[in-house]
Amino acid sequence: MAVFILKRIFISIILIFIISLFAFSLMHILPGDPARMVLGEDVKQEDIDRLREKLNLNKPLTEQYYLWIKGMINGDFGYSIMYSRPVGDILAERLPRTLSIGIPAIIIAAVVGILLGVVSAIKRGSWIDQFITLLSTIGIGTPTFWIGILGIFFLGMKLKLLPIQGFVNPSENFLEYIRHAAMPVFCLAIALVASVVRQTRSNMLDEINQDYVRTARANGIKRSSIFLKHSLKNALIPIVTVIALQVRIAIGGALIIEAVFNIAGMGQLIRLAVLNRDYLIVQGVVFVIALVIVCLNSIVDILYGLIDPQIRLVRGKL
Amino acid sequence: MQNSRNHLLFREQLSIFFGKGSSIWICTAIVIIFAFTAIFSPILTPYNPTDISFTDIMLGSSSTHLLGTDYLGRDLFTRLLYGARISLITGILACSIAAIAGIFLGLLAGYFEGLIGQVIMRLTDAQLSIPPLILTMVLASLFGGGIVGVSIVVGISMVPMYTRILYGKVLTIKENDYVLAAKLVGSKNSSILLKHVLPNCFPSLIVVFTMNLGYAIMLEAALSYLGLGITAPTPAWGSMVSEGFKYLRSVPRIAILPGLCVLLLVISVNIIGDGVRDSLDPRLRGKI
Repeated sequence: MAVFILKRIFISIILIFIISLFAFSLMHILPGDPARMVLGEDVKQEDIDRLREKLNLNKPLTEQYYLWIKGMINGDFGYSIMYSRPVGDILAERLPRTLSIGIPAIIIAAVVGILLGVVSAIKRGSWIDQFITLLSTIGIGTPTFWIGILGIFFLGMKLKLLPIQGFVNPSENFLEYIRHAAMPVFCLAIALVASVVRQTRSNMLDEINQDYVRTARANGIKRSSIFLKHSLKNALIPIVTVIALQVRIAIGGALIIEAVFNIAGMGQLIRLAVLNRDYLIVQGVVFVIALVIVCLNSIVDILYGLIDPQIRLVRGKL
Repeated sequence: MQNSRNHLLFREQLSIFFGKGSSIWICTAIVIIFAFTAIFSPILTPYNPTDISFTDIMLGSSSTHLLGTDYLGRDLFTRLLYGARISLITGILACSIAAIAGIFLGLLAGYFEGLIGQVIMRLTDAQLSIPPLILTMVLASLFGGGIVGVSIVVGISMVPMYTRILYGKVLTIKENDYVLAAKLVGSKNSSILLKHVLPNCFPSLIVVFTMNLGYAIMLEAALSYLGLGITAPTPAWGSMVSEGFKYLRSVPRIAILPGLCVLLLVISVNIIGDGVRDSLDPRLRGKI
């Protein structure tokens, strides 16, 4: 077991290293001189030189990489010219907003998705199953931005039930937070629910078709109690991974949702940074997000290995 | 031998595919209609999608403008037709780019496990830990906003799906006796890969391709919506939605109709993808 965990951590470190190289190289592969991009076209050469000096752009690449990593470990992500603030401060301000949209959406997706998926699998072939499958197909195929716009049009503009733009911090005014966050969370949850339903249904069906279900049934145990006591438990293990995977989808979805509802979170931050070529922000955001996902994946994998020894054998191989 | 078996199966596969009920027929019809409008859009409408006419701004639907005009007097119906063209071209191009790169990497990684395999699979894992939309956004500024640029970017973000599926397939296929036999006869690695391993991966590849097509169309629409994909005045559905957003209160159809087109096309392609998977390679169910 210890070997498995060590190997998993080793793989994560390799992944983080590769991602850090990618994030670091962004500033150098993306078009244009970063300093000139920040300052604009009509600037004196001295100013550009001074900024290049400040951003360490004149040092050799290996040293730049070393300084960047060293800074990150100390919590220093560099200085954003666009916002005239340290990147770390901006991230610390934006991340909670994205989380307060993303986390409720993932929780809703997990609860609703697993419930519908299990019902759909148990009632396989019935109209309920077909209805849920149809809904999940539509959910996966619906563009997040379109759902957002429909919501704004009907709930916001026609019925005037919910505010259509902006965001309020939950710590400031919880009721207003719920009013503002309801639509974004709901829109984000739709695509997530759909994919959790699909995965849960297919895992649960695999379990229901196992031999032990037939044996238990032959022993006279009720179908419902077999499903709930045994199949569900086994089917839920892989679903943990599915939910960890949702985080990746949720981040992409949050990006769109923040654009639709004009929420100043991580998504809007990186979108504007890419459009304005503020590379330090792009680097920082890409690295932080990838770091979170890598850590999450390895935690899930390790937990997984603890629960199920078979997986330790398969995934323990490097 | 291998061929005749495949031919027999092909009829069975078709019957499984179309035997899945009316939904598959409807979706096939929808995709064919979209493809038809994409190909023949210049014939189907007298207007040009980018022609601005300040005398026809925000007209309602009429016999001359089927769905009315937008805030620059452009015919909405025409723009939707041309939008199908953009979506389908970028979708297919992106999937092809992803398939070619992914096949190459997957074959290499699976066949020569060792160091090459390790490097390729770690890079794939690393790419998978960056959300696709963020990766495409960042790379979009590198490749520019044209159809080709967006296709390349969307394609790059889908490479890992092909690499992973191919890798798994190759690992099992290369254990077969016919691969060993080919090796003993003295075939070169490249010819074994192309003649024996790759053809046996085709069913899975077709499945991954159709299943990814909807994803690619969706990703392009999202990217264009965010202003980083195909940009105005080119009539991409995603950018049409974001342009129409400003007029949502007065003329909602400008923003809502292009989104509806994305939805119809993506759902149809996805249902077809599911059908193709069930008839060609049901074991991929739940994996992609």
